[in-house]
This record gives sequence, structure tokens and C-alpha cells, in this order.
Amino acid sequence: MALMPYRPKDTAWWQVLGDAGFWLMPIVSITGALLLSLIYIPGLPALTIHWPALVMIYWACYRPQWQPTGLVFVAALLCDLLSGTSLIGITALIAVLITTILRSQNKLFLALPFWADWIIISFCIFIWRGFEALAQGLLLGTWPGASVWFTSAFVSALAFPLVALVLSPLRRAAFRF
Amino acid sequence: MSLKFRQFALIAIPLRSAVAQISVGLLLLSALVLMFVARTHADVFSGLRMSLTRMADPVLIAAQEPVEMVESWFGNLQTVAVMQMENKALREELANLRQWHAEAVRLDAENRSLRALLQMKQPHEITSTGGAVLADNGTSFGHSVIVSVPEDFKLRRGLVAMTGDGMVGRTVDVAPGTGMARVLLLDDPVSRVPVMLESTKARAILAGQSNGALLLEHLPGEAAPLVGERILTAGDDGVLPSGLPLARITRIDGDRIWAAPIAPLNRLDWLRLVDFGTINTLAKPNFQAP
Repeated sequence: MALMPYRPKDTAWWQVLGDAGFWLMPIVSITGALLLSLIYIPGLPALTIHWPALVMIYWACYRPQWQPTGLVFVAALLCDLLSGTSLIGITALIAVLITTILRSQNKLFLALPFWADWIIISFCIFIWRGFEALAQGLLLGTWPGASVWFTSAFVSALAFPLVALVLSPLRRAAFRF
Repeated sequence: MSLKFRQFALIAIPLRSAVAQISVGLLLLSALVLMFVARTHADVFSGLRMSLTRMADPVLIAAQEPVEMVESWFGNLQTVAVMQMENKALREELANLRQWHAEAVRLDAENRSLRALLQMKQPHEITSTGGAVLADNGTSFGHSVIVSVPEDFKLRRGLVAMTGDGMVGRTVDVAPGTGMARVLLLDDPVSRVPVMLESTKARAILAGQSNGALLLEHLPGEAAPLVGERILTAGDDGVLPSGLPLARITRIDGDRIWAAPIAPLNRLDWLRLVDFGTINTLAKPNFQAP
């Protein structure tokens, strides 16, 4: 509640609704990312950008108060269910772990220049994909090729500035409202 | 007031921190339990998966329109020269197919007479339908697609998904009455199909490797696989008919035999779902006293 803009007691209903809107931003953006990851474009490899991971990481770094850990868990679980992976819960496990670490460093991310944030976040995306590959190898007995793992993580890391570009006006809207 | 607040803060702040830490621990534990349950009871999540997919269905269908529009733009960019070349190739293929058609008619007649001779029961009626590929998972190393078929088609798990080239996967989750099915493609890491080599009929298991490659496992030592050789379904599992082309051997590294799917799995626009029914075709012997 601390991150909600301060409102006096006689706040109008539309302003209260606006406050609720800020809390909805992560939910809506993660849902959008989930659907985006499902859209099928023939000819493009399926293992491309991990949109839900990027959005969850973004909110964990810059607005952790808007994205409770429970929301991360549910969103990641939906991601597993919709993606058809046989390891249901793996994304939830990794997402909760990584976002918990990132949200604790929220002040650092706000203080550092964006390029430094990008490097740290790229590293996290590589770890995210690495954990997924490790879990798959250990539990299913099939190790994904290094090129698949690297390409997927690299392309996702490259796409992070785009996610930041789209979500940063939403994040900053809290200060202007 | 301030003393009470201070006393409250002394308890509340560490309590909140402890609850936050415990909740993270509980969520991690829940994720681990889910992974275990999903591995042992995969069916539990099947219905939930298809319900979620149905909810996402309108968005996916709407998203297909711009994709198809862009595809058609690129299609229109084909030059006349390319079309002429294609036309020539198609004419040659047509002539070739006419010859094969005549051969197929002859073989069909021969097959019918042999079946009658062996008193073979007619195989289960084969039903099939076509469907558009709506979605592809892009968040994990697995590979499956969502297919939308006519709602009146009787969907069930284990239907064979095919393209014109051959088999590409099997339905694993279905939402009966909605026309939505999830097809597990051959290169998914959990995909295992009993297969045989085309030349020697040596049996093996075709395992998905998640990067578009397939690995031939448990091939007998005496089998002599050849690079370029086709891999067909063996039909030993009683689910798939034998003889469906699946893949082609691409590389042999000692004991490891690599194959590539016969159809491009990342360019699937349409799929045909085929219900081969039961595979047992031999009738009970009908011995009669002379």
C-alpha cells in the first residue's frame, strides 16, 4: 500500500479506481506477454523470446510492490500450463527464485544506469534459461543443445530494452497521476 | 499513542518480514510438489490446460489474421519467373503422380483380393480432419502446437497429426466438443515413438531432443542404418499404424544416430488429425469341419 499515491480521505472514486489501475498493470502486462508468447508465426522457431519472463523481471526490478510473489507464482504456472511443457511448475520455481532476488535489489536497479541494469538482467535471463535446461536434462533425461539454450537466452536478453520501453511509461504514470 | 504504535511496530515489522520469507518458501515448495505431481499424474492437468487454451482461443484466432495477411503479402511478392518454374515442376510432378495413381489402383485391387483370401477383417474406419495451427509454445524447451479443427470431429488423445510429408506428432490434450487439441510434436523431449528403419525393418525408439533433432534409441547392433534412410512407424505400440513416414537419418556419430523430421516442424500451417482406430486387423480364425 505504501507505493500507492497519497490520497486524502475524501478522495474521489475515479482516483481510487486509478490507484487500482496501477496494481492491475503487472497483471495486464504479464497476461499480454503470455498471449504474445503463444502467437504462432510459421517459419519462426518456437524457442525465441521469453516475454513473460522479461515482464516479470521488469516489474521485480523497478516496481516490486506492484507485483507480489504470489502473482509471479500464478503467472509462471499459467505460463507452464499454456506452453504445454511436461515440467509443470518449473517456470514457477525459477520465476519465484529470480524475482525474489531481484526485488530485494530494487533500489540498486533504480540507481544504476539502464545499460548496467540490462547487463545484470541479461545475466538473470541466462540463469533462468540455464535452470530450465538443467531441470529438463535431469528430470526428462534430454539435454537441450547449447545453441538452443544460448539463442533463446540471448534473443530474450536483446528484447529487454523493448519491454522496458513499453512498460516504463506505465511505471512512471504513478508519479504523474 | 506513540508508545502503542512503537510496540506494534516492534512486533509487526519482523512479523511481516517473516511472513514474506515463509510465503516465498511455501511457493517454492508448492512449485516442487507441482512438478512431482505433474510428472506422476499428467492427466490431472490435461483438462485445466485445455480450459486455459480455450480462454486464450479468441485472442489467438484474432492474432492469426495479421500474421496471415503478412504471409499473403510475402506470397504475392513471388515473381512470374518463380511461378513459371513452379508450374513446370508441378506439371512434371503431375505426370509422375498419374503413373503412381495407376499403380495404386492396381495395388488396391490386389490388396482387396488378398484380404479376401486371408479372411481379414476390414480395419477400423479411418476418419480424419484438417485443422489450422493456432499457437506454438515459446517459453520452454518443449514443442507442441494447438490445433483448431471442426467442432463435430470426434477428438481423443492419441490421434496422429500429419502433413503431406508424414507424421509430425500426436494429440496429447483435447477439449472434446470445442475442436481444440494440443499436438505433441516429434521433437519434444518427452516424445517417444516406436519406429523401424525402412530398409531393414529394424525396430528402435525415436526420441525428441527439443532442438528440432531426433535421436534413434535402442537400435539393435546388427541393424545397419544409412544416412538418408527413412524412418517409419513400427506399429508395435498398438496405437499407431505401421509404415507412416516420420523422419530421415541425417548423421551417425558412433552409437548415436541422429534424424530430422520429414516435415518442417517450425513451419506448420495446417495439420491433418487422423484417427486410425484399432490396429488389430486379423479376424478370428473360422475353422469349419469339412
